Amino acid sequence: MKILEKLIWLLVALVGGGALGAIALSRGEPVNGVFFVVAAGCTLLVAYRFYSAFLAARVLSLDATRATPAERMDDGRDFVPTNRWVVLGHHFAAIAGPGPLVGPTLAAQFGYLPGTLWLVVGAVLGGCVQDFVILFCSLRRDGRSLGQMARDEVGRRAGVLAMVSVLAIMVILLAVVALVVVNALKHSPWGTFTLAMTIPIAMAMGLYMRFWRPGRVLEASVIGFALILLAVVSGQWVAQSPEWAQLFTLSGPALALAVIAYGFAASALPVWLLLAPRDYLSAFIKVGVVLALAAGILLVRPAMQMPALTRFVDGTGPVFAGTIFPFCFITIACGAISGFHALISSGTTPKLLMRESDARLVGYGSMAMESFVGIMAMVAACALQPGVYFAINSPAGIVGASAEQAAATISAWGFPLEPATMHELAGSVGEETLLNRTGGAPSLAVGMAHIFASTIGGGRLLGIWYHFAIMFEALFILTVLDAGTRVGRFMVQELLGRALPRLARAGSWTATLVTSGIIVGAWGYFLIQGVLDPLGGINSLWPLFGIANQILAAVALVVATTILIKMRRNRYLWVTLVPTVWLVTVTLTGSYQKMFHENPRIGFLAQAAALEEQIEDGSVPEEKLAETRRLVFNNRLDAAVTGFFALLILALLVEAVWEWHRILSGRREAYLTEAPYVRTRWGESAS
Amino acid sequence: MRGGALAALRTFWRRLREWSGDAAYETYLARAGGAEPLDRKAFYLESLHRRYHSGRIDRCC
Repeated sequence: MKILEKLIWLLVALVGGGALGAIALSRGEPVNGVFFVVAAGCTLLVAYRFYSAFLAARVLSLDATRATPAERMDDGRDFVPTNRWVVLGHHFAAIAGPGPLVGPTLAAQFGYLPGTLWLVVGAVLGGCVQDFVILFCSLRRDGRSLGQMARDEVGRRAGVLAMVSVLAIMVILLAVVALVVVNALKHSPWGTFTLAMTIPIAMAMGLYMRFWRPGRVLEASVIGFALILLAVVSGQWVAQSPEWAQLFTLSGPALALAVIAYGFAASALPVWLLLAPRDYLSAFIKVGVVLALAAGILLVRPAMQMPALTRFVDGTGPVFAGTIFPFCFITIACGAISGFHALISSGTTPKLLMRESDARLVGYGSMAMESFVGIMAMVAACALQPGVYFAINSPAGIVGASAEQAAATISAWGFPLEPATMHELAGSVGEETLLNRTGGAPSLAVGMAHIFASTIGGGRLLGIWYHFAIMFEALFILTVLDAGTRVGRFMVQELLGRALPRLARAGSWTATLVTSGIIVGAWGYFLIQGVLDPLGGINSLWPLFGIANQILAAVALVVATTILIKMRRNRYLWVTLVPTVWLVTVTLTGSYQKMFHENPRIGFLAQAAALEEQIEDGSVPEEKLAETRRLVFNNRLDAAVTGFFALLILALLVEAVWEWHRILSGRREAYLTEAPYVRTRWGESAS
Repeated sequence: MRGGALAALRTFWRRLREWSGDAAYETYLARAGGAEPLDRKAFYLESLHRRYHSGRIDRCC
């Protein structure tokens, strides 16, 4: 490294360290959001430059002379050697979903500090490492999936465990993201109209690309985006028209049923008609809004209103209950480390990489970018007045359903809030109310709308920006819902098809409808449960999703560790073992607390017992008896699901540790299932 | 200077088309070799089928 380069990197490190220090040590005066952007940006850049280079050179020994699957099996379809920046864009668009936006927004209840630190540290040492190593492993194995690698490298049982965990996690994931959409749109005619309009717009795009201009993705996306903007603007007129507003004003349960029906239809309809065009549109808007938000934060330089730490670090938070450890780490999830990324890193991406050395940019770099998105979400949430943040994100069961009750409760916590503030805010964004909108999406939309409106349009456009942000979040949540339901359907077909071959038949309408019904019914049940939960649903479902996601990350890291052991990289096992041990500790502690904690807001079984006691002592009114019994059952079901996830990771750990012991003690040969070396035709220097 | 900016714009446009999938058919044609290639419509439908019927997750949370 030349002296000038060394000096530049030293400067980047010093600036990042200084900004991190300012964030961590500042007390009293509000910290500016720019410090967060600078601190995270510099830290991630330094980590990419040095730690990922260490991983690439020493741990994985990336070989630029080795032909990738894309080169060896180039068919112009699945395997296509692609420029690394294009693959970076593909991979980032695939991994960046609602998680890095919603998770940090919810974790902001602890204050800005814990979430910010975990977003950066977790990504640098955990998330980026997982994505990079799994991408490398898949690249060396002809683009095999995580489940296949678990079976080949750890053992057959591990493969089955990985597949079952993916399916179970998918059900919880789809339920929780659907709940976020429902909570954002209930009683919001403007938002509901805008999102409803995305369905015919996507279908029109689908018809355009299918019949008129086949495969012209850019043209169709530009037309689709213009129509979406029109839908956002015209949503205001819909909200102001008594007849139309009534049509699009839906309660939580009604919206949940609509989303379930949509999920079923999207899973069964031809992909060219709805899923594919929505996917294209969503990818464009996602990347565009993320860039616009970064520019907005730098231009507006919002001050953080939320303190570094709030009183809710003690576990009594209204957004979700539980102490910083383990719940902050479970809640942030995707912005720091996400097991789902391992599925993408062992999916399409390894089939596109032109050179093995590109895995560093795509694997480590994409996750660093996602962590940065999480930081921006944290800034948008913490730039809100804390009283407003808590009024939006707390369920009615805790702060009350009226602005007066909420303002009194939240002010008593030490976060001053006037009822008029909530009325004015709701009016300025074109909503009837913003109270009790749990799920993170509405508060994030308010934060983003303030940042965007401060850049373009001012207060006049606040409503437009708010609904644009809601549309942006809901659009790609529905994309996840569409794609996830369809993949879940294939998994159900594969699993049930072993016993009933008719269900595995491709192209069979009966098989499609039955298996779509099973997968939609599964996540739909949890969605309805969340919508009817008096504590807002997010309190129980988001931690369940976080635990599931982090368990999948632990599965991926266990597979990666096994491969490193077989590669005789024993000196560097800490690279994957440290995040594995951390994740196992966090998820098992979280699982135990969610099952057995004595506080009914945290422990599912304690909540079930408390409700049962209310039924027995006659304090539940007759008309609420059936609902309360259902809540008891749901809490026990959630406890069972949590226990199932914990058992999954324990079973995989036993299997893997036994395999590690046999290899390290020489009782078993370290057999790697890597594809044989073939020299690249592009030459070593061409990187 | 102007030439450099134009070249950069062209590269950006090419990469954007590759990223979005707009250039997928041209990429396929360039690799089709001696075999009779699919027409644009058939290729588009086939590429969607391969992408969304693989049973693999390609959108994350």
